[in-house]
Amino acid sequence: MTHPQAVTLDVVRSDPAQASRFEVPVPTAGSRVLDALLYVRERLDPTLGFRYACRAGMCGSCAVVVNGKEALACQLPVATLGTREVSVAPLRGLPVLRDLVCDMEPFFAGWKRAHAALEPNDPTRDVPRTMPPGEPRRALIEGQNGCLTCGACDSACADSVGGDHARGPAALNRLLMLTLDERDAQGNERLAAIAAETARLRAYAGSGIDDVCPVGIPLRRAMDTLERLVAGERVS
Amino acid sequence: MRREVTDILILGGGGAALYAALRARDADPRLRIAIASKGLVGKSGCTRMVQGGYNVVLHPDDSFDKHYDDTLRGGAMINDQELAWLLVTQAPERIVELENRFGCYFDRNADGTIHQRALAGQSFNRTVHRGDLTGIELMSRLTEQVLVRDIDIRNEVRGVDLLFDRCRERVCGALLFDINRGEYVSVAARCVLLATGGAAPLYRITPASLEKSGDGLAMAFRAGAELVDMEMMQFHPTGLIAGDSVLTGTVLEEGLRGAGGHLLNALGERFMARYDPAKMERSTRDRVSRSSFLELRAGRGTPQGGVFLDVRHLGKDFLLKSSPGMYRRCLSVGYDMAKEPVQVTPTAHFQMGGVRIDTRCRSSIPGLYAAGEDAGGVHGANRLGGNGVAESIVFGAIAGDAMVRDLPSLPSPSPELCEVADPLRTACGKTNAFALRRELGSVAWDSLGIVRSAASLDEALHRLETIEARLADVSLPGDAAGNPSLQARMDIANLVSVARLVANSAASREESRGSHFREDFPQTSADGLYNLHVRQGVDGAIVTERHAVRFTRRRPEDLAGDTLIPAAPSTAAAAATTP
Repeated sequence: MTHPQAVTLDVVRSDPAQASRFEVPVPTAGSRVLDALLYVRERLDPTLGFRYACRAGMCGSCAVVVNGKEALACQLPVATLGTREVSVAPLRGLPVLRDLVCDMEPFFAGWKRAHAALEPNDPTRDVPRTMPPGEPRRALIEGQNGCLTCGACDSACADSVGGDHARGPAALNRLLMLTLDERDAQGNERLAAIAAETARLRAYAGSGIDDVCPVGIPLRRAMDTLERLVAGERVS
Repeated sequence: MRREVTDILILGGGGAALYAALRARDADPRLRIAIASKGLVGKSGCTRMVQGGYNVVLHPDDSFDKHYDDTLRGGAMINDQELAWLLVTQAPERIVELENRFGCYFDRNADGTIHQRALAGQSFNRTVHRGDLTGIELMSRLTEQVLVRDIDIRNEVRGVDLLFDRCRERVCGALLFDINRGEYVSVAARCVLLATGGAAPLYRITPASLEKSGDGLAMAFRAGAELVDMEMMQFHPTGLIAGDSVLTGTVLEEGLRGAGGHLLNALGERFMARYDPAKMERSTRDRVSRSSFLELRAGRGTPQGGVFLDVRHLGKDFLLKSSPGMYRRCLSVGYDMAKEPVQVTPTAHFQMGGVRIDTRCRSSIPGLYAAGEDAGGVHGANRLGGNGVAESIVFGAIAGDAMVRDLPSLPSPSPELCEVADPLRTACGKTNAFALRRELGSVAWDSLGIVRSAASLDEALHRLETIEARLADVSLPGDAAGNPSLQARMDIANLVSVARLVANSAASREESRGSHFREDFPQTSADGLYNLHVRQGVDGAIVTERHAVRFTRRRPEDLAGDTLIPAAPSTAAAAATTP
């Protein structure tokens, strides 16, 4: 694949007095958006704010909005954008600390409000469980696992999330897993807590969240499944 | 400056840090517990990046003795034998806790028991995993458990220095820097846990999470704590080469070599024939890394600085089944592993050395604890794949328990008030912080990396002094809030401290053992069964002491293996068949 030799990066800055357009080389077809951001910081403007850590698509720290679509900067090759104009903006729906760096506290505060963590029904058990992999509920859970808590899906549905990340697609996906989890003490109480969320679930199910999830979790399916569970259907 | 008080202050945000917080919180709901991490808690660091899994004895045909012996063989017999025993014997109860209490999902056998895969260097397939993304699973579950408890989480707040009581006898807090606000915060605490990881990113090429810069190690050194095994840095032989991209250095899993992949130099030779003709590409990580490095140094590498990993003959079906993530990653940087050889390079993977701890994670200074990669001694001269995350979890728990138990004897802190200068007071320099960081990475790679010599280490120490002197000239444009150059300068200062300790210990050990290779002393010496303890002397210099290994459970003659003094053939055969 041929790739452009250079692109123009247009980055949202907190301070409008600071430069936002940068010419950045694209050395190879695999050069990432994160490489471009680092080039700007290291050689053009050392004040450019953006976040990254693992740069291997595992931590989700570098989630941003590129040409209108959420992505991990470390995973997105510039060449695949098919354009020489690359706009980079912070995630939607979260307060901006600086440039591309969002305050993730509301996202994690939502996770906490949703109690999106196992409440163990047998916490002092001292032997492993027997959990056959083919068992339907477990297979359903596994199919939804792998979330990086990068915030891309909540950002893509920022209007529906409305700042309540306890009811964003990421937290709800986790709640689905927990509802089905034989080890969870809350069980169906989790469904009762989201019984009034049908409108949101439908909005998410009809959105583009699957396309922005960097690890390909079938989030729309999760929203659909939750809606059916809330309605009293059995799903496995 | 903001001044705060807590009971337990944990620096770091990976597996050891979170596990310690959870254990402490569940032991005593009244404690005030704070976690401060320079990255996002639960997301930065290397626990998250673990692909192999967690070694643990679960199967009736496995045994603590087997896991222990593997660990000591891997460590070339200079492991702290009591710490290694704790690792092995406490790993099982932690796995059960991870599953039942904290909600981890592990891969299963068809009968529903926990699946354990094979990782190199082990006598039994004992590695618990979730696919090849075990780290993400562990950190996701631990993070959400921390979130739903009353634990004070400080994202993007880094440790700067430890605080002492007025008599300078115990640690009672730390000076922190809030990266986004650009402000110092002084936190008084009855005890402090260092869990900030190691300093593999010191080196130009590394797979480690890039924000790690040995902050805990440097802080411990400045505080006068003892560190151990600082010369021991593990390199992984197959890091990806992707030009200037940040992807360079990320690891291509060992399984490819284990399954029969070939390593070729630029002349198309399977060069391992020159270094380990018996085992070829299936030799140990350190030997393969060294061999690749020597080929590159001899000019038999590619223009991009790599050798080739050729797995074409394994077939595309096999590659897609065994390593789909890796296959896709290579594709995304332009290599089709099924059709062409992939360029790879050794990469700085893990730091075995660190803060010297006892069996309760206590450092040499009262009030100061260390766990995870920040601590040293568990792995000796080389770490087995799968023992790293086990260490973080096991010793995170030990540290959490120990701090809770010790708290009654640790009075409320009254740390000496400290003054801090404006971090930007030397903002007018001209040196680009990121260029200086790269320079440090090259010095480390060339002179105190995979192959060392008295001359290279001496050169390294000189160049480190120059780099340190240039820190005063680093340019810091912008204000203190969210200032990347300021953060880079703080990182470089700590990395230089750690690099000095690595070089100093590497110069002291005049033999080769495990991951430490001296081309001027290439043999493993029978007199090498010691650990180097280092600490800061009164005049700021490094005080180095040699301590003989205490063989509390195994003597060297009990174990024979690859990285030890080679055994006579009959002994080796007997060891190989010992159950």
